[in-house]
Amino acid sequence: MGDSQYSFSLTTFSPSGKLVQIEHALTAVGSGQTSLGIKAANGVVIATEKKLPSILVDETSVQKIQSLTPNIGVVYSGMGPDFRVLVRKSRKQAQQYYRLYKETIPVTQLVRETAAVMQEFTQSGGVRPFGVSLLIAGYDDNGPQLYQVDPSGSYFSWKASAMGKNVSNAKTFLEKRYTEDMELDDAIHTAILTLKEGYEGQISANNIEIGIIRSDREFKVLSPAEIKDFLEEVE
Amino acid sequence: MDRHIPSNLDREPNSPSGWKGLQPSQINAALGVSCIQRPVASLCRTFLLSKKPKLGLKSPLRELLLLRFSSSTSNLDACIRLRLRLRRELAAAPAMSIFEYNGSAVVAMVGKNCFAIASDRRLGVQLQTVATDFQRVFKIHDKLYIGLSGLATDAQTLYQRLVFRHKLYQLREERDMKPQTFASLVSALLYEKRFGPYFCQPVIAGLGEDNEPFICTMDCIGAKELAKDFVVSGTASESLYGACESMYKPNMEPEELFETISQALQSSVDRDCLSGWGGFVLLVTPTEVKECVIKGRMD
Amino acid sequence: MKLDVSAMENNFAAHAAGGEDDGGLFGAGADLPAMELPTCPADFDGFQKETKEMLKHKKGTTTLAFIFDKGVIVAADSRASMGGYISSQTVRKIIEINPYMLGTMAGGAADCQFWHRNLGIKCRLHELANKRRISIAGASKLLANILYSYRGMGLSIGTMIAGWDEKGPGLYYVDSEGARLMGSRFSVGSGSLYAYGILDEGYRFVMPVEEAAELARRAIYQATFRDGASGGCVSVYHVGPNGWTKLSGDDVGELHYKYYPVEATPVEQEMADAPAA
Repeated sequence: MGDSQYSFSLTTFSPSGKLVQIEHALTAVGSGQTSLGIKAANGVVIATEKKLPSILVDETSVQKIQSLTPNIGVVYSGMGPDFRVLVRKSRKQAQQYYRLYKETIPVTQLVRETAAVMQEFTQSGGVRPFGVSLLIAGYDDNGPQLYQVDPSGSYFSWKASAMGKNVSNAKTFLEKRYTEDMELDDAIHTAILTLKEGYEGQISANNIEIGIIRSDREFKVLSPAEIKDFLEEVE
Repeated sequence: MDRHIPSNLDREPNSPSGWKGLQPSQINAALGVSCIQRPVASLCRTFLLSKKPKLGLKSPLRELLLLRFSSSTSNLDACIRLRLRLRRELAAAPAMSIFEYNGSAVVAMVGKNCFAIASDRRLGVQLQTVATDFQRVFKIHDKLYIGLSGLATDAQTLYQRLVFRHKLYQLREERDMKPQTFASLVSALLYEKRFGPYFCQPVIAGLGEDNEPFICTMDCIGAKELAKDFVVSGTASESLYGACESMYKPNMEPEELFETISQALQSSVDRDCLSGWGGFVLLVTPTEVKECVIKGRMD
Repeated sequence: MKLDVSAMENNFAAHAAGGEDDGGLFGAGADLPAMELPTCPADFDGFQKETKEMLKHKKGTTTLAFIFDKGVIVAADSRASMGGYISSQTVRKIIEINPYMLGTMAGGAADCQFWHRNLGIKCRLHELANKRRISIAGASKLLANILYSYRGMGLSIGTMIAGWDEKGPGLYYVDSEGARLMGSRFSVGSGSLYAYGILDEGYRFVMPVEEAAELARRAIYQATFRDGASGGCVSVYHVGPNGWTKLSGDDVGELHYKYYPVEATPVEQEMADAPAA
């Protein structure tokens, strides 16, 4: 990267030891739409608000939750275009792993690879950090898993986590509601309630997205009809 | 298959033959390149220009020349026949395969919840025996082994690369590789060198999840060949196929498997000049690994 | 790459014309062989080439013979190979031409067997005609002359003619290239270099028959160990004033462990014992 001798990294330490660019990226995430994830005993759910700038936008064309492999899905808070880049790189990484070993990539490996990409963008010349945090949900030989990856490239495994505009409220809410032996259906309910809590306006099947993965190891983004059923249960 | 025939027209500058000084094109014209293909023509030139063109009365080269100069068009058939003969003779020249340079025999067999992998111990340089304690079976982890037949230097290098890759995998994923996964890795590594391969034919044997035995072999560029019973490779592979085919039984207990693989290896290498000089047998069950050096004929 | 066309230089017309000799091979007195040559005007060179290819087979061999004060020792292995394949481990490579003369076999098996038998006939005829046994020098020369007349036609023979005649022990090396050498020790075959190593190191002119036999045995054994194309059994013959006797025939499989009885080498684990990470 960088043909010019002047193409040094934009993320340079400030005298106080901070990387201001990364803090800015985190700010971008913090002002993004709320996303959350809950790891249940038998699966994982990830969910996000899908607020669109105008009612004229066709909401079916916006997909904020994406699958990386058949058994791994991801959602983001922050900048949508940055997310697309990461999804593309992660999917490629997963396929490379499969080509080499003829075995699907474990969740930890894909998370690590993705985080490595995000870290690289904090240190390379001529690039800026990604303006997104990711929640990666998967199910493999090690059971259900939920990871959050931040713009700095750091990642943690969570029982339940939230990010975006309403992060502190959502986290408090999750802390109250979370139990170790929670079933996936309960987790979906909790997810919806958490979103509802911080939502400005009325939530509907069309302005939130939910992705789930159970022990069948098939990541699935719920359709508006399926979300509607869950919403009715919550009411 | 046709052997590539290099043109070494210019190798003998002081040729005493009468053809000296002629341009290649002139000789080509004389030989009639229209009817004999280029490689043969260049070969003819080589001999005509060589120090002592040893052309017997009945040699195909001489005949070919006579036919060309007799200016009879009906000789075209004869020309073609002679050309074919020349090519056949060139193809018959003995060629040593690099796979047979050091000599080797590797075999793996599956038993009931166990497997065995065995190899010979010879390291030779063609017919000359250099060492009789050479290792061709390598450990990847407690329940996974690889036997590498073929060129010894490549076997060692490939083994080192595989251990390197496996250690990285262990560090990254905090687990051992499954035999199937490892086989895919070997295959990928071999295909990376598609146009300059390692001259090895690997045999992979391991216990997978639930101690399910797994064996497989592949060619030197990574085409996997899975088997449920046995796999063989090396210079003694033909004899090994015969021996295994007749001695193998499904679901053998470890003791019987050990006996069978040892007998199969021993009787096979006794029919092969390039392998033998003792054997190495490795028997792996879910609970233990038995390594054994077996005595054999030392000729 | 060069094509070896040296085999094609002979003019066969002279030989092929000799068809009127009904005596064939046994035509008495004729030094030149009267073996009928095939008539294949269409593809004679191809036939020759094929013949040569056929004869390439049984080649890997170790044979040796040496003269010492109590006669001649002759020894050989017993392996026949075709490329890398061992086609037999029980070949008799020491051919008993008559009770006083032995020939060894290296190269083409059929060539050696046939021409040694042919030599046996010639020697017997000589004996009947002259009322005395033929000398080793004479016999080897008969063979060498025959081989020379077939030179370049694809015969493959590397032989030693060893025996006892009126002048004492005799030993000649004769090959299909036309060479005929007199000497006191020879070794022929792909394993000959290894055998020479032992032979030259242990050879003395004066030694008991047992020691000489052991030297020969050891030399052949070492050759079978190092040479992939030699193996099987080690046969040792002795030729003394009363003709030849076979002293021993040992399987190399057992001989090795006789020479090296303790074979308790531990498994070499230098590379395999990398500790599991």
